Amino acid sequence: MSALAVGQEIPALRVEAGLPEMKLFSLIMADPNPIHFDPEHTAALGMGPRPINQGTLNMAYPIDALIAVIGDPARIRRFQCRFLGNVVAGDVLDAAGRVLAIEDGVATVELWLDQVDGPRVLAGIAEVSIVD
Amino acid sequence: MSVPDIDALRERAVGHRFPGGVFRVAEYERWLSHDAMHSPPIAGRILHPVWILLGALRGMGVTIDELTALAEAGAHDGTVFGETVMEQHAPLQAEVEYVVRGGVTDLVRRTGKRAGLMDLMTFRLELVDPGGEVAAVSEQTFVFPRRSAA
Repeated sequence: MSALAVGQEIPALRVEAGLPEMKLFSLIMADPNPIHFDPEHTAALGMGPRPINQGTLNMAYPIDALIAVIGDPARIRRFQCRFLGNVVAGDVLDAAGRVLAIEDGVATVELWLDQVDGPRVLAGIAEVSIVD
Repeated sequence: MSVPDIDALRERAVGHRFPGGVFRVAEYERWLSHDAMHSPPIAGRILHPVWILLGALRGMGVTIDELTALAEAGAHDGTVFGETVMEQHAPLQAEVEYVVRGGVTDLVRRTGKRAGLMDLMTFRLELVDPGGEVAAVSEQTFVFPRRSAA
């Protein structure tokens, strides 16, 4: 469960961005921005009728895919990501990755979040200790 | 809301130290948040690494609403996350109190092909455990669209 090798694929984790989870995260983050929970507001902004997923949730999915492989999240030393596009309520996504390199006991893992049959919406890099 | 002068905005925001504070994640919050994130099972009280950012936001001493106001934007302007960096020196745990300290490190204005004019504010926050060690660091950029310039 814990071994990593250069070129190893991080298997895709398929998730749906659910509006109930987005509403919960607005509370967890004390984030009053209505683009995350109010369809009328996103529509009024010209962003469509479906609220936009929290960035923190989009970040979580590729990290989930990584944890499913490495087991212990404490092994993640660093995570960096860029948000490339919006995810809206009801979108179905694949979070996955690939081990790019291993050096000095640290694996560099490319991670991403893709819309199923659509564009990449998040690109990230994780540094993971290869020792439990 | 009009577009603020970038030089004045930078002078006011960059170097601004947040009041800071503490955060503590209750076990039920750990459960609910991990469920919402679709997290695989995580043993013990260890928190999902996304809590580095969530905890930083909770403990920095200003709300997202106030942070948005510091950039002279509003909650209805469609503020979104830009680049995110999280460093984890030790995993965060539920039912442990962490001190949060830090502030704004950068603010720049960009023009995107689709989004148009926007301001990017970056802030860096350290999460300090009860033993005084920095357990994690969050460096986050917020993107403030300046729609009134469109």
